[in-house]
Amino acid sequence: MTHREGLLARLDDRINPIVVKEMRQAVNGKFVAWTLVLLLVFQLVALGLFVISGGDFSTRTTGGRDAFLILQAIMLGACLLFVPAYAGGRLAFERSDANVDLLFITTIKPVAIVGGKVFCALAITTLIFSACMPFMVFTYWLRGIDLPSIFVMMAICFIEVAVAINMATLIACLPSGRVIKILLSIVLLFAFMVCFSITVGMSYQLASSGIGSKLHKWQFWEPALTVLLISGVVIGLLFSASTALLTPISANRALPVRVFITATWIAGGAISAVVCYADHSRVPLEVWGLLSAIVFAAALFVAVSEREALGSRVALAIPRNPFRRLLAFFFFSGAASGVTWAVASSMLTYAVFEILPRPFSVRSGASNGVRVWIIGLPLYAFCYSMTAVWLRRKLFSRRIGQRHTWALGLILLCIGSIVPFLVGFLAFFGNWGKIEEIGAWFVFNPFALGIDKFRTVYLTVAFIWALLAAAMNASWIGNQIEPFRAPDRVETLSL
Amino acid sequence: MRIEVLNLKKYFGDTRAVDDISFSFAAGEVVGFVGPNGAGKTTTMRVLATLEEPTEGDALVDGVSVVQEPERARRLVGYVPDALPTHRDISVHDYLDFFARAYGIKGAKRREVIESIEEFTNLTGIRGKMLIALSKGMKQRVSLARALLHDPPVLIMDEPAAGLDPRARVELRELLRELAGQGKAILISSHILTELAEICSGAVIIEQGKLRMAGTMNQLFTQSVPRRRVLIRAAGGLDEMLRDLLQTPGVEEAHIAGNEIAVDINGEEDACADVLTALVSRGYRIIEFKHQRAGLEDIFMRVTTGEVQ
Repeated sequence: MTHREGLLARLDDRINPIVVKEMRQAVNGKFVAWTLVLLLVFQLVALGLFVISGGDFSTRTTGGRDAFLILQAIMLGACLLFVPAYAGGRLAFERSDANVDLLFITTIKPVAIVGGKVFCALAITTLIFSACMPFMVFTYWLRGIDLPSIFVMMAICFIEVAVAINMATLIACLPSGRVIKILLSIVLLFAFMVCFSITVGMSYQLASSGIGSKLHKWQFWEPALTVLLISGVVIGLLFSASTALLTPISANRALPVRVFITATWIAGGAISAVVCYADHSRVPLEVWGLLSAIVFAAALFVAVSEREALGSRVALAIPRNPFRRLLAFFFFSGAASGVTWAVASSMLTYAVFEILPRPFSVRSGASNGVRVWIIGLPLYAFCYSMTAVWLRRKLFSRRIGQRHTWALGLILLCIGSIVPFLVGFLAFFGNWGKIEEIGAWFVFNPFALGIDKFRTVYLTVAFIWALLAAAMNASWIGNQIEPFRAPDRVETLSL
Repeated sequence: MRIEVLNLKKYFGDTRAVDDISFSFAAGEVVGFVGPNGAGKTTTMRVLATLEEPTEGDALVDGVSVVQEPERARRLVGYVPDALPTHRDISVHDYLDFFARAYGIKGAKRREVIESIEEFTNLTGIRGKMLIALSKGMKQRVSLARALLHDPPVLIMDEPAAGLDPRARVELRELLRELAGQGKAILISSHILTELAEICSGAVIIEQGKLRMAGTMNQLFTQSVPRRRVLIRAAGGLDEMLRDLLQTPGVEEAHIAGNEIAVDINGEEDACADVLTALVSRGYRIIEFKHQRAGLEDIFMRVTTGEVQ
């Protein structure tokens, strides 16, 4: 074997097996090729029609911009529709009981499985973007758009598709039935449509103002880096969650996710504090606080669906040192651990949000609106998730498994958000116009925290409800805290 | 190397797919896993293959728990499911290459392993074909080849002979014999009990998720059929011999079947020898005195009730 062959063989061994298989299948299969061909035909026809019907381009100053926006919409629409569906659909099929690929009984690691799938989907996205790029760059010659704007907007689209792929992957990894996955996919599709509309609208604004002239200004790079960082964190979060879902249930699978969230939470807080100090503005901390509140609120629904009994594999990893054991409790797999970690993190977020800006003498205090969301979202999430735990334990223990507690929590959230309001509307109001008057009927709706007049009422009710929910589940939490200790030596040996 | 299933339970809602079953077998043994449809065979096998987590209980493969250490258990188990691979966009060789990579087999060793497995399972001639284009027998071979890639000491095979033609079944049987000869522990489920009886050293019978019987073939025959049936061929006087037999101690039942007399004797081999001695001493000229073994089918019919969940 020559040196070159040896090098190639070593390189071949290092390639993720999933990437090798997916690429081979993409090349052999028809789906990717046909999607690409169809997309190119659409782009060609759209651009052709635009040029033919566009009139005199020598006098038209926005022809290139208009053409670019049409082509961008086609490319982004196709990518948001097909690539996540392709990646998520294949993974979901491989996860299903009916499948015989049995990828999940090999010794390949979950991180390699998710990484391989995401990488291949991104490779297909890159292929599609590369194929579309000549058409989009061509619009530069039709006037009304500069090249930096074209590339920056394509980069934004690529990031958006990358997030979409990771979301689809996460749904595919969920240990739930086909019906729940299809329902979640429909919800995701609506979210993609909203993102699509926002991106197209934003692209119009960006193309109109021109990015080329702003490239050397902090005014461009500050929001660009913020978006890039937040996207990176979202992708990382989705990726780590997907990996955790593929990890055997007996493993300490919540640990890497919680460590990742905590690390990015600390890093995000530090960066926000620095920018807050430099700009004398509270906005970075508001963004950080709001995003943290959303993540920890979602984490509460996930936490209540985790296993309640401590598996021996997790137990063996519990440190003997009391301080490290306390720290481990917050990060190790387990429902009570997850709930306490999310609650503690939410409280710390609020404390940092309130305390940190004071010595920085920032301009103006925080808007009351943001403060209310930072407190309210995790508070309501705690109420609903813990009520779901109590209901499952007391009423539905035979019908609903603990891993589906999140679904019960979401159903309660839907009921609490809609039903009281509907009852109030039907019984007393008779029309939809008096939003201030009917505000009290939104008392169980966390999305109504924006109504100024009732904020105090909402938070008070949510706080009392949270205390009640905590009291009702005190034994549930206590029963999980008590056995959280390393097994003694004899037990360890017997395992 | 020993495979132990310990008080395994798997519930799907109110349905008890597997209800507290325990059995074990060792390297070099081929164990038939028998039961009616819906008895819990596939669920048990999926638990052993780490595809399903049990509600309670555990299974140990060479001491490694499939619940606590599924990653380690996967190195020890090769699983052949009842469904076959049907991809239209991947060839036999690429499919095996992917799984070899997934099991962490690298470089030249991977090529060697794939080639030897292709040769062993007779896939060399069709390695370039797409999976969708293969016959059922060939797909079954691909499935077996995939399960053997990482040279697991334990093979779990769910209905590998279902739908195969006679030639493919005979070839599969030969492969299994060879694998057992290599010291692999094999758990195989099938509804073709006559074939199982030919290759299995033991069997586990379950019904409605519950263990009905388990042991070596000899143990099963003894446990399930306490009486022994012998066929006697003699030179003339069958009617007279039948009357004598019915009065002989130890004989429970006897009847003429063609030119032979079928006799059910209560007891072990000594009781059979006593009957033969009695006949000879009475002057009967015995041409043939042979033990008719009960088949796995007989045992299955005796120990199962035919009820479904």
